[in-house]
Amino acid sequence: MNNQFRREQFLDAVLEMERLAEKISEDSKSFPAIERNIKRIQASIVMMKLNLGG
Amino acid sequence: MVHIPYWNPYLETLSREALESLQLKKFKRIFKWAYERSRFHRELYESAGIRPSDINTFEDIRRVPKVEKSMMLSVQGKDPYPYGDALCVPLEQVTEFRQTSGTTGRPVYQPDTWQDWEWWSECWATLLWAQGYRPQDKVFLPFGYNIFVAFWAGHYASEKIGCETIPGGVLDTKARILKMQELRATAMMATPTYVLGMADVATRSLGIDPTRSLSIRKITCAGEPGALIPATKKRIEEAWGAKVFDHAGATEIGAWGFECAEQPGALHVNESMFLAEFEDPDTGAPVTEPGRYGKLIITALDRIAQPCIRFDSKDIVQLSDEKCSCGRTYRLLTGGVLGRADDITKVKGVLLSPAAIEDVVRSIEGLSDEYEVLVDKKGDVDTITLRVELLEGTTEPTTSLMERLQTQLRVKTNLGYNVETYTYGSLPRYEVKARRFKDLRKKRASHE
Repeated sequence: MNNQFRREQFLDAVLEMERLAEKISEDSKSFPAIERNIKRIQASIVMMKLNLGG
Repeated sequence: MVHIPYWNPYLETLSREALESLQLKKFKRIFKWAYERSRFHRELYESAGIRPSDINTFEDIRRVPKVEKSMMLSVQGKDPYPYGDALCVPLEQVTEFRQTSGTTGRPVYQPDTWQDWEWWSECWATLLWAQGYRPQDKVFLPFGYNIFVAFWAGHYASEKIGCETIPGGVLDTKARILKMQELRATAMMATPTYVLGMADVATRSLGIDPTRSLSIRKITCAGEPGALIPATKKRIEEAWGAKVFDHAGATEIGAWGFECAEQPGALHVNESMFLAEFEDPDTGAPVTEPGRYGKLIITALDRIAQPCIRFDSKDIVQLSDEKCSCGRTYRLLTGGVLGRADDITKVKGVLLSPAAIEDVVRSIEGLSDEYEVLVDKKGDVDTITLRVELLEGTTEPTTSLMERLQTQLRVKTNLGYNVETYTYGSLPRYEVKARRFKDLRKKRASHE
């Protein structure tokens, strides 16, 4: 398994998720069931970035 | 944060037509899921001649066989161990184990996946938000964090909302009260019995007046009726200086009902996540008319590990067609869960509800919160013994108190009682679910 290659792939995907999550978070201020759930996803995204050496 | 009254402004305000369409879609999905993945469900439905393609209307749903707790017990203890054939996911997807409290017999095991657990906390987030919980709240949970589901999902929902969530697990009652005081907790969740007991301990043992020395302003009650019994709600609210809200749920079902911040004297059914049907407890015929009493048959529409499809909850409720001022379109049930079908029994030919007795006892100043009801038979005649405790320092003579009690009992329940009085502290205290109602006739019948 080429870990370095997979790391870059994962990191790209995680950064894309981060961008989407940020947009959803900004747009969902009046919808707690979305806004509060995306906050938890954002916390998981941070953990994934840290796990990838970010 | 902007003031948003609804956790989910889309689902909680759907039109009746859209809500029913969503329920039908979800029912078809969960029915197909269970049919295709569980031998228990498939055999049950095949025996009734029903396949997933047969479900197209609510009329079709009523033909689907009900599931009772005893049926769940009969499949458990076998492979896939310990859940047996009702399990609808591979065992490795089960991430949570809980079990019922076993108050009505052997406990039922409840597996949940990670997705189910998210669903649990979403149900709870809906109700806590409706009761006014917001990220600035400090929420104290004074319950034993163990194998019973109790307030576990309330804990995760509180986190999800963004509240500071304080687990008051292995602490005794005094330590819990002192920690709530120290941290200035603003909200808590517990059974009504325990909430009243805590107030008693705070006042008598710690010299703390919860209305002045604690910051609790919202209390969510669950686990037993009480928070919607007017006299009990009044006692709790006065003891704590807080708003008290009811919530109904069960391990096998989920958190299906809640009282909103408007306190309409009723529970909302979370109809985007549950399908509630009602039937006559005696005949099993569907009950749809407002004002009528019915037994709740309920489906958890999104729970996947061990689906709950047309589960006989045994809960007796009263239907309502009133609209709530909170703006939610979810149906209301007047007075919440009025009792268990097993407990609401005929005495001398009259329907007796334990909740009605509790409402009378707790409306009488001079009596403590505790009581016990024993139904028995002498010869061919049913008897009801009511045990109550007298509060110390009451100036009203006992005979006068008893006269008021007997009059109110007769007015509210149409029955006569042998009342026994005890000194304060004599009757049993409960920390979780109280067992104050005992029908000794059933015990005798099973021994005969």
